[in-house]
Amino acid sequence: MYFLLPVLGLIIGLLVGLDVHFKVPSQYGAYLSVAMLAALDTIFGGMKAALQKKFDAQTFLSGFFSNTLLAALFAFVGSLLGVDLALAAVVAFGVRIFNNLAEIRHFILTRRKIQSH
Amino acid sequence: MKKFIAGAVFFVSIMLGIMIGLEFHIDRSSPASIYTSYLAASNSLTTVLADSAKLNKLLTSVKNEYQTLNNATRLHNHGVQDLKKELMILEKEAGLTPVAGEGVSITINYDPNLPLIPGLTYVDEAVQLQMVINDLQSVGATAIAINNERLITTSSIRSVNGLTTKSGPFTGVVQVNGEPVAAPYVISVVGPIASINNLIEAEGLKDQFAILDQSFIVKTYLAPDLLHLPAYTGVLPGQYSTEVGM
Repeated sequence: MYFLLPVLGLIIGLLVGLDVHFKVPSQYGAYLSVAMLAALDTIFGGMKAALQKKFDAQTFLSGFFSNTLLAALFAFVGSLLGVDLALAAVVAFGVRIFNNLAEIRHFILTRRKIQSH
Repeated sequence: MKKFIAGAVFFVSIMLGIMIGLEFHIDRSSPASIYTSYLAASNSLTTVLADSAKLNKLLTSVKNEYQTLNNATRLHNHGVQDLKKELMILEKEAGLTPVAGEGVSITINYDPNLPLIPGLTYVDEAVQLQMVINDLQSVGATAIAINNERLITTSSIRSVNGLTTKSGPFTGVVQVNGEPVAAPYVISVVGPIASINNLIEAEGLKDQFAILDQSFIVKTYLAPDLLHLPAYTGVLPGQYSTEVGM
């Protein structure tokens, strides 16, 4: 049941997001993308922590908000300064996401191996 | 504790869903979408401004060039008009255009009623005509024609004796502008009538011609009865030649 919660939340959020009558200006699309990347990083980090039995809801929530907002803010400030910090955020979060995914995969595989022995 | 964790995961999932949903609201086909960030827009603006400055310079240059060409064309047109005006004046002065105006006509002809001078065998009529023409020009005649042969600055008046078989003092043939002209000679003059009449009186031309057995009849033309003189149609000096170095 708990396993379905994220899927259900994602569907509800998606429906709300699609239904909302709000047009995001195309020039702000990059900030939303960076914020989404930060959110995905937090989620994968949370998944990894959960598998390692180290999950902390407060850290997860604070990480989600701080990462999302700061990523968008950094990208915006970078634009103002004339430095493309959005690209830096994409690289940093991309690396972290792939690292987390790799660890998750290793953990799952290791646990399966242990179970099969 | 489990409920809190579940709530947090649920909430984060909803937020992620909303963000994904909002992504679909971004109009990627809009021209503004190429400016994916403030930085991109700023860079594009800088480029456009630089291009704009270059284009402005180019536009100014083209405008100047256009102005120069326009001025040149205008000057050219003015020049052509001026030259045409000058050509018309020169043609008028050269006698290449017909003339109409107030003036005098002088008819010189053999008059058998006048007493013939004994021993007079030959009268050079060309010389007589030349004398009258010179006198008329000296009082400011505008245009002169002899028997409708318009005189210009290079016109010739000469006697050609071989053209007639008759003998006697008034049997010669005169050539004006190379064209044969026979008596009666009608000299048409457009010019100051008063001066011409004074000249005829002062020089005693009538008497001079009477001695030579010729009548000298003067008729005055006043507006609206104007005297019409034809244009010179003969060969112009220089027509068969080219200036050296041209």
